[in-house]
Amino acid sequence: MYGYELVRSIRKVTGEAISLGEGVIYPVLHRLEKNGSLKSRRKAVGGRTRVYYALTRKGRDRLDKLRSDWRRIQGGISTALENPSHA
Amino acid sequence: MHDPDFTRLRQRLLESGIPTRHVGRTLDELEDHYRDLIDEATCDGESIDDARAQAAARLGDIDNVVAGMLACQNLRGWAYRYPRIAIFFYPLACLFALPAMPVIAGVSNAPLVARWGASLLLAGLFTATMLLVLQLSILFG
Repeated sequence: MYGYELVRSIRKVTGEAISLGEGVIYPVLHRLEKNGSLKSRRKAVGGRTRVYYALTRKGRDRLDKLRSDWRRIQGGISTALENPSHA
Repeated sequence: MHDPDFTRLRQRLLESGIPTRHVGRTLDELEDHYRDLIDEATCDGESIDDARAQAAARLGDIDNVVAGMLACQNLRGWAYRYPRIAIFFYPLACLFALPAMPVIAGVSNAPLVARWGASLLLAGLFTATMLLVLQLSILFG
């Protein structure tokens, strides 16, 4: 996916709950590419040259770790909120 | 509503030590994204002015883009990341490169150097001929 597609996808899957200045996605993408989590390739489409991003193996591993961390935190917070006596 | 100031963004990124190639790519992506946002808004039936205004608002403040780029040290050129090394390395590199500069300049401007050489040769020949004529006229005149 290229930047615009990624932002559209984020808006769609989050039900537009996450709203951001769309330009800030590029520094994030470039940073992830620099640390090896993403790879990019240029592709000419309809007279425009777009930069398409894809996850690398390292990026997939990182995503899995972040996902499991998030679920653990989310579970902890849910437990605390559901049992206010523990809070 | 004005278009996003991509020229100012380019200048700010370059001033902050982001390499030129990377700045070019970032701007290409942002300008492309901006065009996509305009296309999306016009497809939704907005006028071109409204579409541009919406697209600029959705793209966001360019200062945030600059801040995002600067937050990642790896995106900056090495001389900005290691200025102390650059202070020593650049003069040293210049010192070693200096003797080669005339050769490099000559090779890269070969046609100019050739024209300049040919002009000098012609001028020399002309002067020598004139001196010879003068000499002969003194001897046999």
